[in-house]
Amino acid sequence: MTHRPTPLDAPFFTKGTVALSVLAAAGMAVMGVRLLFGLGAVTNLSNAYPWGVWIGVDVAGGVALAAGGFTTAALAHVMHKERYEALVRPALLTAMLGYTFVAFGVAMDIGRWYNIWHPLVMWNGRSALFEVGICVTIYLNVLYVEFLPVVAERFIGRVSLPGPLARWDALVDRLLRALDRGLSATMFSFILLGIVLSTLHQSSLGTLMVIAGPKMHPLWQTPILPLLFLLSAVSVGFPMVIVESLAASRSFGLKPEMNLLGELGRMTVPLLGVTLAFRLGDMFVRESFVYLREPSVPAVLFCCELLFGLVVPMRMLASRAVRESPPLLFTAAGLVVGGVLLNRIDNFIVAYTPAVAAPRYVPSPWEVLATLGCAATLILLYRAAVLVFPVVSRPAPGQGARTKYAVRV
Amino acid sequence: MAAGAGLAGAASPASASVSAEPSPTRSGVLVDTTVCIGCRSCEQACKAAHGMPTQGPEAYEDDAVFDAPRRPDSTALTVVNRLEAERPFFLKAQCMHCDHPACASSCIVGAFTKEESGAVVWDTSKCIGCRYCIVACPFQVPAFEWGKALEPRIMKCDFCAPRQRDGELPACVERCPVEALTFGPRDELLRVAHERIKRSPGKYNPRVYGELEVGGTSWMYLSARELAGEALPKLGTRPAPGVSESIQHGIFAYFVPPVALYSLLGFLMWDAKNGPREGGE
Repeated sequence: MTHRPTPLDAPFFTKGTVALSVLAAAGMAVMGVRLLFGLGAVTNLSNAYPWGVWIGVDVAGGVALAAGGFTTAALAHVMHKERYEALVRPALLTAMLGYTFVAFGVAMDIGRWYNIWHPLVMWNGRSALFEVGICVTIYLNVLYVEFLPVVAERFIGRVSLPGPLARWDALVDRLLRALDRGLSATMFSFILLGIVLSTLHQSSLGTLMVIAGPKMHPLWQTPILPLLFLLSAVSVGFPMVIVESLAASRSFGLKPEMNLLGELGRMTVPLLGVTLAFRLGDMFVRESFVYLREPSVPAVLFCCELLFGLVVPMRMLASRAVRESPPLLFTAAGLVVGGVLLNRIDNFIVAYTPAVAAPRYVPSPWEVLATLGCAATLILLYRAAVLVFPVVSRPAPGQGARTKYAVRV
Repeated sequence: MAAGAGLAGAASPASASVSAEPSPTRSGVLVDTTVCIGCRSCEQACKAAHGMPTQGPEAYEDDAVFDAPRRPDSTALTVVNRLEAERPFFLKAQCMHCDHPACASSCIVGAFTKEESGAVVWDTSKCIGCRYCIVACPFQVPAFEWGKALEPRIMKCDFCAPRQRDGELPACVERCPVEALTFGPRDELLRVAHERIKRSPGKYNPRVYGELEVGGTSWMYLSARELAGEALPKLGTRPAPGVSESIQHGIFAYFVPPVALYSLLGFLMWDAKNGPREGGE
């Protein structure tokens, strides 16, 4: 069975996308108010709780859930498992859009959004946030470069600029071909760079809260937070690809690639196992389990992370019957995704207590609306992209799949 | 990891890193809470010195302000709270001016500096408003201007660094009518503090808050009872940025780990491509 990515033929507007568009517009309106009147106008943030859902969900959650990009690239290109080629482009698109929205989320959350470029020229190597910022910035650009061949493929031989610009058609076509050739030869270096940058910032995202010291609940505060963040990001990569692929197949009426997705699910089992082992090991070494004795919100959420985010999906994905059933596979992968999202929320919001007691932070409805609006916009852009660009593969007999990028010696 | 941190520290003694030590001649302030009468003159002096709007003297005579605890914020860089105990006492809060400031370590653009004088100051031109300094600060001091759409600032006590440069005392110290605040070299202040404790052991808790907390702070407190855990946060003796910076230096020791990972992945990629093909293609 071989595949070839093509632009999908489907209408952009459906009942679902109209609903999402409304949500997206509402979210962007909130951002507009934030830009005009400041963070205090729409958020419940305070000097006691300086970071809320925009950092916990949009940024930390977004970065983790976009991990499918680098894990799939590692599988298909570095480990050279050509069968998974069909999943690389959708994962790449998700990562590219995901990181774009991470950058957008950061820009909206920082007080001086117009100074967002400062870290590029004002360095502080001691800051974990600086490390995250630099790596995410470079990685975002690497993702755009990785996506360029898809754009080139769409337009090579089909360039038709409107009106008087038409006379440049041939030139643009030649440029695209040159770009494609150049990228073909060098893409391996970008793919490797993308993976290295991902491991760096996924882990440094965990280092962020280490400096909060005793303000972090002991169930989460550990010097191995960077390792835990990296492991959970690696383990959520494939489940995220599964969730998206099944959702997209359903939405576009395509036959899901159950063989490949089931395989990804099987490979996720040991990754979840390693994450679980480190989380339990960390808990026993630091003896933080004493905080589980009395029922509290943090204790319950911590147990949910381990049980529903790691143990249950691990058991489910280990079963062949689950991996062969789209709804069950979707459920298992969805649990992993939800578990990692909950973990990021716990680390950045639930676990944080100010040094001096203050009323607990609860996100304002506007903050939540903005977050949902960003997610909705992301889904809409994803749909638009797969309609325009050759991203999703459909069976096309006779076309040989091959790994396009390899180390050139 | 520890070795990497040590190396990185040794390699760049000039740039502030894990091993950076504050100036030995840095100043500090000793707050004797047994002396403070809660007149809040320091609050008024602070606002005046920083060009912030102040209230008339009658506002500072109203005790109702002590009914709810307050924190320093963007409109008041220092506040005095009354703590209820058998014998109520007053506690002035402001930036502690840590010897190893977490804000300076955490700041994404390096906008915070620990000056020779001991003051931890903030460069408004660099700030992007990310508020990571607030996340990092163990004393919950930096405050943000939440209501501003443009140029919101991080606000905190600057130890009157400009006044100190002109040879003047910090405004609060100068104004205090009962000499609850003593300004001087930190070493000297510690000597004075321990002498007071030795001279009247019944009057003072034997510990100076700030002597050891998070590796030492420029502002320190003498009190009748233990402040840590109640009036002020209970903290360890290790500098707040320590663990975070060690991890950073471990991951980035001369860029060796990232480059090594890149090379390893490159080799794996080459090996997988040229090695035995995957079966069943």
